[in-house]
Amino acid sequence: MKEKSLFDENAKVKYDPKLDDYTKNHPNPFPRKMALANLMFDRIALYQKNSKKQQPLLTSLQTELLYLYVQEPTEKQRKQLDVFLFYLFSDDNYDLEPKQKDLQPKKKLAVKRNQLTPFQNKLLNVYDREPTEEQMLKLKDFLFRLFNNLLNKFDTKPEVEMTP
Amino acid sequence: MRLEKYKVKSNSAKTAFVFISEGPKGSILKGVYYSKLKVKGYKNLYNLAFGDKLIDADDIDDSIVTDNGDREKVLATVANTVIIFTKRHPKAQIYIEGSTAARTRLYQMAIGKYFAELSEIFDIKGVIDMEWLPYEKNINYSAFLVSRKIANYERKISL
Repeated sequence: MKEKSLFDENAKVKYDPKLDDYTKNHPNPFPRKMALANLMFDRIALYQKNSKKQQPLLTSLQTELLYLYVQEPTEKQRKQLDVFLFYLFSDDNYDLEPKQKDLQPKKKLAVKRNQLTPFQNKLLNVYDREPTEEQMLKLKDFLFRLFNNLLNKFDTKPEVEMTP
Repeated sequence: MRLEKYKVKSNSAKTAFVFISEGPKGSILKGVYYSKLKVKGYKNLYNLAFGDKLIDADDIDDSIVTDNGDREKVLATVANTVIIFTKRHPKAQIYIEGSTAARTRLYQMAIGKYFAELSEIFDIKGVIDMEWLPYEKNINYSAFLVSRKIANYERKISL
């Protein structure tokens, strides 16, 4: 018995003028998904560039921070993360401001910081500062618990502890 | 025999499609939207977005899982929009990544299930560790890139 065919070569498509109006008024109706798609291609380009130089790709934490950067956590989640970052980096007087020298090799990200929210800037500052291995592990664990799954929608109200 | 699909409506450019999913949870308006991505090195790259409430609503969500009991029919309908879209835009490369890991896996399963038929018409690549590789069944990819095999275009498609 022949498998059912996926495609209908004779499918009729009805024209809907409302969709022309819609696409004209909403050239990018899925901004978060578009941002993620662009981020994926940025990461691929960065990987290819680094592969030629035999440099490591972004760490998994950096990748997750970049995913966070294009997503928008809830206000509650932002506050939880603020508190967590404060405690996580307080021992070494970590003020979350990037060091100028640390910024130099990452200019290729070309992020227009003045267009970012304070939260996004804070995440990128963490990314630029390159936390220690221990800090990265704690932060990674916290982010996973805070957002349950970074690729899932963020308004799921996960329960997390406030201390690292 | 063809898989059941919903009737779709589209804009004149064949970049936006809507259809109504019918199931136990009622009639749900769904949309498929092909948006051009501006990425260096790619001239005709489009992102496939699929979600609820494409039109007549400000609140668009591509992460809702409506579970209206018609998954196969919905996926077949979305797949057919790829045919319609690439007929109008034959040089397009379509980037497909789910809005959640679960949805990406769903796309992966659908591609795997119909790979024999898909591969007659499309070149399909998947990304692993930031590299595009030819699609193979039973391998997990984080995103897909689909483009029409131009040589087969006229032979296979006569919408």
